[in-house]
Amino acid sequence: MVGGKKGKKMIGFIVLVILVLVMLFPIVWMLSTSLKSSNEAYKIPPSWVPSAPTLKNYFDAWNEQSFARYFLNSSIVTIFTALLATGIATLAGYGLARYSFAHKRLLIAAILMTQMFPPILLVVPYFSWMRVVGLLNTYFALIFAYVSFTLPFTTWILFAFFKQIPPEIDEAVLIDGGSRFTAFWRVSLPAVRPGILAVFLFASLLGWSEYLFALVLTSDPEMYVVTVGIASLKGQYKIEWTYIMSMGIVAIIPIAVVFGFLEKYLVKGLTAGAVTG
Amino acid sequence: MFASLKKMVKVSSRIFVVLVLSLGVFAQIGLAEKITLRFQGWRLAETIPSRIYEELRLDFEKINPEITLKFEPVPYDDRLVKPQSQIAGGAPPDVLMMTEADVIPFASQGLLMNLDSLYEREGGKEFTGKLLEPLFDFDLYKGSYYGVPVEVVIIELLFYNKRMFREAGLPDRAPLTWSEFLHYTQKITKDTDQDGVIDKYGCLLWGKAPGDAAKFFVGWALRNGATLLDEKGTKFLLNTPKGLETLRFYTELWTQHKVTPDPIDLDFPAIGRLYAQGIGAMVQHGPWCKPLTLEANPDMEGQIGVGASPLGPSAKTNVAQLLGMSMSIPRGAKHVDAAWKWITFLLEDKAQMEFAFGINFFPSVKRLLKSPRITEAEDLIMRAGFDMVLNGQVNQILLNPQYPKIERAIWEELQSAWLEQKSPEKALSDMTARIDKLIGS
Amino acid sequence: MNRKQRELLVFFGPLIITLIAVLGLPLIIAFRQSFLGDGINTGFVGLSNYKEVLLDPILGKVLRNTLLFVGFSVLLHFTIGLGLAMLLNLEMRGRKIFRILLLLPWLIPPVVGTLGWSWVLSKEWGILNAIIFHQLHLVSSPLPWLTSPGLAMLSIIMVWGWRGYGFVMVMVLAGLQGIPVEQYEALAIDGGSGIDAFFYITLPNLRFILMVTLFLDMVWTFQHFDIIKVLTDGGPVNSTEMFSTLIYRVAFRFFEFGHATAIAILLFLGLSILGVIYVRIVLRGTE
Repeated sequence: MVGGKKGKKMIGFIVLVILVLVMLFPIVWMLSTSLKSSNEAYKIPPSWVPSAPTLKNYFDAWNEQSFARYFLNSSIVTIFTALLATGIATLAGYGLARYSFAHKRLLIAAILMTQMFPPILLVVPYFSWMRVVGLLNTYFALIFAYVSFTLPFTTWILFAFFKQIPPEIDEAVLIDGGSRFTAFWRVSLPAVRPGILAVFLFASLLGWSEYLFALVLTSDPEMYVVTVGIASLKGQYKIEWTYIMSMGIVAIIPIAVVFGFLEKYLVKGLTAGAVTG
Repeated sequence: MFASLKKMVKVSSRIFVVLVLSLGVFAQIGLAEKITLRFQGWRLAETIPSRIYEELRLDFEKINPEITLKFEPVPYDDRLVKPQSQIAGGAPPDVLMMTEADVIPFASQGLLMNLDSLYEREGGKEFTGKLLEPLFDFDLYKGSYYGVPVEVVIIELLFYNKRMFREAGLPDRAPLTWSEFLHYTQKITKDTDQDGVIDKYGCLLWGKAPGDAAKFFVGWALRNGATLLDEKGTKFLLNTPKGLETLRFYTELWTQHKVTPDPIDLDFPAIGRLYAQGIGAMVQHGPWCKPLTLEANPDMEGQIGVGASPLGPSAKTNVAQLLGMSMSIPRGAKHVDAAWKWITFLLEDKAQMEFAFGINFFPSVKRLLKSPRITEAEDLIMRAGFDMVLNGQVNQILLNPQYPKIERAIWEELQSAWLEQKSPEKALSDMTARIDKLIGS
Repeated sequence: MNRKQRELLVFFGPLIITLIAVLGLPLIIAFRQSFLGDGINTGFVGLSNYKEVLLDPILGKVLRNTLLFVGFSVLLHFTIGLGLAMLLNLEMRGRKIFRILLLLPWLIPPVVGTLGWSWVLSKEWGILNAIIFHQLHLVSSPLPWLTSPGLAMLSIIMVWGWRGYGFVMVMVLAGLQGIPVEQYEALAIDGGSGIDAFFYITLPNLRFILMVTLFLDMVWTFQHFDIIKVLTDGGPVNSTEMFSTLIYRVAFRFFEFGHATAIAILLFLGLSILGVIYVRIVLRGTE
C-alpha cells in the first residue's frame, strides 16, 4: 500500500491547507487590522490587505498602555501556575491510576465536582479569603486560584494517561525491589510524557487567558495582566480596535512559542518502546 | 533531562511559595506614612480622559503632599463587577466612578457610604446649591446622599452628515419633528449601486446593547411628551397613546420604512463607524460623537452637523434626559477624608473645564455651566447642549433600584417589536406588565 | 501510618491540601450564599431563592438553549479536533507548523478573539458578509448573523466550536502517541484497512482519553459565557441566553448573588448527576 500512502498524504496536506485558511481567517483578519491605520481600519466595506501597512499600532499600544508590564505579569503567573499544577496533578493522577483505597470514588467525585461550580461565583468569596490572608494584589492570589482551577481536570487527564500504561511495567520495578516512587519516577512518568506536556500546556493556557479573577484580585495597575489590559481598551464610547488587535496578536506569541517548543514532545517517542520493552 | 529540572523547579517553587506565604501574612504589619488613595474608574483606561486625569492628579498631589493618588483603570463593561466584588470582599477602592444609573442600585445594596455628614461639612445647602439641582436625584437614596455629581451630559443631540444632506437636497439643519425626520430619512435612504441592498441610510438606531437601546428609546418617548412613571414611581406609564405612538414610530423606522440598518446589529462601534463613513446620515449621540467621528474619518471635518433630537407630534417641551457621572465612596473605604478631598477637587474650575473641553461632558457646577466660555463656545455642541442641560430633566426610571432589570425588559420588548415577533401594542403592554411587576409596591 | 498510607499521602497530599486551602472556604461561603436573601433582607431565607429560580418562566428557554449550545458545539469540537489530530499525526512536511497554526484559535486571548468575531459577523460591515454577499454573491442579502434568533445561536456555536477544538486536538494527539505501533502493524499484516485501523485500534485505545475529554469539554462549555456575553449578550430577546450568562447577569448586573448562586447550584447538581453516570461508565472495569 505504498503508493496509496503517498496519495493519502497529498490529500491530507491539501485538506490541511484548506482547513488552516478557514480556521485562521478571523486571525488573519485581526492581523490585517492591526497593521492598518485607524482610518483604514474603520472603512466600510472592509479591506483585506492594508494599503499602507504600519507597525505604529503595536508601538503605540505598547508604550501608552504599559503592556510590557502586563506581559511580564501574565508570564510569571502562567509559568508558576503551569509548573505547580502539572507537578501536583502528575502525582495525584498516578495515585488514582495505580492505587485502590477506601472512598476512592468519593475522592474522584469530589475532585470533579469542584470543576462544576461556576468560577464566577467564587470571585467574591475568594477575594475575601485572599484579603484575610493578606495576598490581595499579589501573584500568589492568582497562581493559587489558577492552580486550583486546573488541578481537577489536569489530575483527571493524567489519570487517563497513566491508565493507558499497563500496570505491568510498574510491577516490574516493584518486583525488582524498587519503591513505588521509583516506579513512578523512573518508569511511568517518562511513559506519559505527552500527557504531562498536554497538561502543562492546558494549565499555561488557563493562566494566560484568564480574566475575571485577574480583574478583581489586582487593584494596582502594576499587577494587571494582559487580558485585563486588552479589555481596558474597550471604553465607554470608544474601542481602540487597532490596539486590541495588535496586542491580541502579540499576546498569542508567547503561548504559541511555548506550545511550539514543547510540541515536539507530543510526538511519538520512547513511549512506544516502553510497553513492549 | 527536563523531568528532573522540572522536579527541581517544582519543589523549589513550592518551598518558595510557602516561605513567601508566611511572609505575606506578616506583610500586613507595616505602617504607611503617606495615605494611598485608590481611585477606580473606567475613564482611567481611555486615552484622552486618562491624560486629563493624570494632569489633575499631579495638581492634586502638589496641593495635598500627604496623599498619593493611585489610579485603577477598569474595563467599561466590567466597571461594576470589580468594585462590587471588592466592596463585598472587604477591600474596596476609596473613590469610585459611577454612571448615573449605578449609584442607586449600589446604594440599595448597601455598597456605598452615606455622604450626608460630608455634605454637611461642606456647607449643606450651600454646597448642593452650587451644582445643577436635578443631578442630585441620581445620588439620593432614601433621602441620603451616596454620590456627588461631577459631570452631566445629554444624549438628545442629533448629529447629521452635511454632505449627505446636501446630496439629497435637504437643508443644512437637523429635522425638528418626527414627520420631518421620516421625510429626511426617506430621501436619503437609497441603494446607490443597484445591488439590491441599501447602502445609504437615513438614520442609525441603537438596538444591540441593552443600556443604549433603552436610554435612547426612552428619550424618544420623553420627547413625545410621554411620562414614564407616576409620582410614586410604582407604575410604568408608557402604555398610553403617546407611548404607543413612540414605539410604533420607532419600530416602523426599521420594520416598514427600512431607513436604518437592522438596529439589533448596531452597537456603539458599529454606529460610530457607519456614521463616520457616511453610510448613516443621522445618529443620536452624546457630544463625544464629534471627536470620535473625526478621529475615525478626518474627511468628515466640516461635515458634522448637530442639532436637537426631533420632537414628536405630542411633544410639549424641548425636554432632554440628564445623564452624567458621579463619584462615590464605597462602604469600608479606608481614607474617607482624603477621598472627599479628591472628589471636591474635581468640582473645581480647572477640572470641570478640562472635562468639558477635553471630553465634551458638561460641568455640573452651575456657575461654570452658565459661564461665557460655554455659552459662547465656538463648539456648536457646547452651545446647543448647554441649554438642554440647564433645562434638562432626570429620567425617573433610572432612579429605581430595579433599573438593571427594567432596562433589560425594555430592551427585550423593543427587540421583539423590531423582529416582528410582537406587534408594537403587544410589546408595549408586555413591557408595562413586566416593569409594573418590578416596581409595583 | 503504614507504608501504603504514606505513599497515598505523597501522591494525594499536595492535591488535597491545595484544593482545601485555596477553595475550601470560598466554596463554603458561595454555597451558603444561595440560602441568603438579596437586596434588603440579607438574612437566611431558606429555599426561597431556589423556588424563585424554578418558577422563573425563562428557565425552560435557558435550559433548551444551553443544551443546544453544549450539544452542537461539543460535537463540533470533537469532529474537528479528532479529525485534525488524525491528520496531523501523519508524517508529513510542515506538520509542526500546521499544528501550531491550527491551535491558534484556541490560544488567542478570549477577549480579542470574541471582539474580532463580533466585527466579522456584523451584518452591515462585517467581513463575512462582505465576502459571501458583496463579493461572491452567494446569498441574496447580507445575513443577520447576530441579529436573528436562529442565526445568532448558530453563530455562537460556530465561534465556540472554532475556539474550542484545540483542546480535543491536543488531547487526542497526545493520546495517539501512546498507541503501540505494533498493533497497527499487526492489523496491516492481517490485511486490515485504514478504516478498520481507526475503529479497531485507534478508538478503543483512545477510549479513556476521549471520555475524559468529552466530560471536560462538556463541563466547560456549560460554564462558558465570554463569547455569548460579547457577541449577543443573551439576545436577541434571550434566544442565546444560557445558564452561564444568566448566572453572570443575575449576579453582577442585578446584584442578586443569592439567586445567582441558587441557579449555579441547580446547574451544579445537574452536572453532578451527569458526572456520576460518567464516572460509573468510565471506572467500569477497574477495581
